[in-house]
Amino acid sequence: MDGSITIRLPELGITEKQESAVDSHVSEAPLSDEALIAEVCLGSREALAILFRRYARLIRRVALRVLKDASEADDLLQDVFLLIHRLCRTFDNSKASAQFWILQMTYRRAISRRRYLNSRHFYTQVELDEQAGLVAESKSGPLDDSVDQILAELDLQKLLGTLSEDQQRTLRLHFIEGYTLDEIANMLGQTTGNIRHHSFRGLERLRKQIFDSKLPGARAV
Amino acid sequence: MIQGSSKLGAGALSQNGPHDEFLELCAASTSGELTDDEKKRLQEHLAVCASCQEVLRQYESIVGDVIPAIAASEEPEHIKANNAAV
Repeated sequence: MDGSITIRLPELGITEKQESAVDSHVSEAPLSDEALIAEVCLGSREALAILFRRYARLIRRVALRVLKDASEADDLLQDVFLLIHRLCRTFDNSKASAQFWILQMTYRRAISRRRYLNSRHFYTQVELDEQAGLVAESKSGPLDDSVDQILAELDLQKLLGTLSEDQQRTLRLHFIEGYTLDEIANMLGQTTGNIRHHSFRGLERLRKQIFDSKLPGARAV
Repeated sequence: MIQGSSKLGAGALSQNGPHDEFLELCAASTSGELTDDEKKRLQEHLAVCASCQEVLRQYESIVGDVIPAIAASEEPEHIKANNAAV
């Protein structure tokens, strides 16, 4: 998917390229993420570059998952780093970890962008292609605004609470924090097969609750 | 995805249902955790199975819509703990 990622933030004087081999968002030492954000507040471009090396792949992966489009994901990655630079003074370490702050900013920004793209019919282009007689592959993205309405009707935390602790932890570490199944297995002292099973059972449970519907019609929530 | 249900039609699942042996492969494919062999098997099956195509779209919606919404709405751990204590 992404052999390398290039970030260009000319207004911050940064151009960095991250090769795919650098794959960890937690391996940079010795400064903590929180300390780096404090450095960014003081104007350190190097601190921002280190944060980029730690988080770029994770942020892009999240963006791609939500937006379903590579160039949109690249744009969002750069947006998030501009936001980190602009909003670093609002970060409060007593309220949340830096990782939580960055990831939540990413998710909120991505969802907001997806809503905008939806409103501009970005994801319905595929239907126009089909009408033109082209064999177009679906982006599998939200096809209209109703997805957000449906999500608003769901009690997301309650939904998550129906999963076992292992399932919740696995889904959170894998899909939200971006760890691979192998990494999670190491962290939790379980086999990768076990972790994959937790992931599957968790997703399947959510799928059944959301889609095996009690509501009428195909909108199965 | 949630809205994808309507695109393939509710009947896609109700007629024969998805195939159990491919459910796990559909789920794993949403995070790119399939081996080459599993990927090939799944692709061959999806080419002929509307029910499992629908299930795959549902998993993709959970990963692309539901889990991101959960992440965006979460509170930091210490706030959750404070709320629980009240």
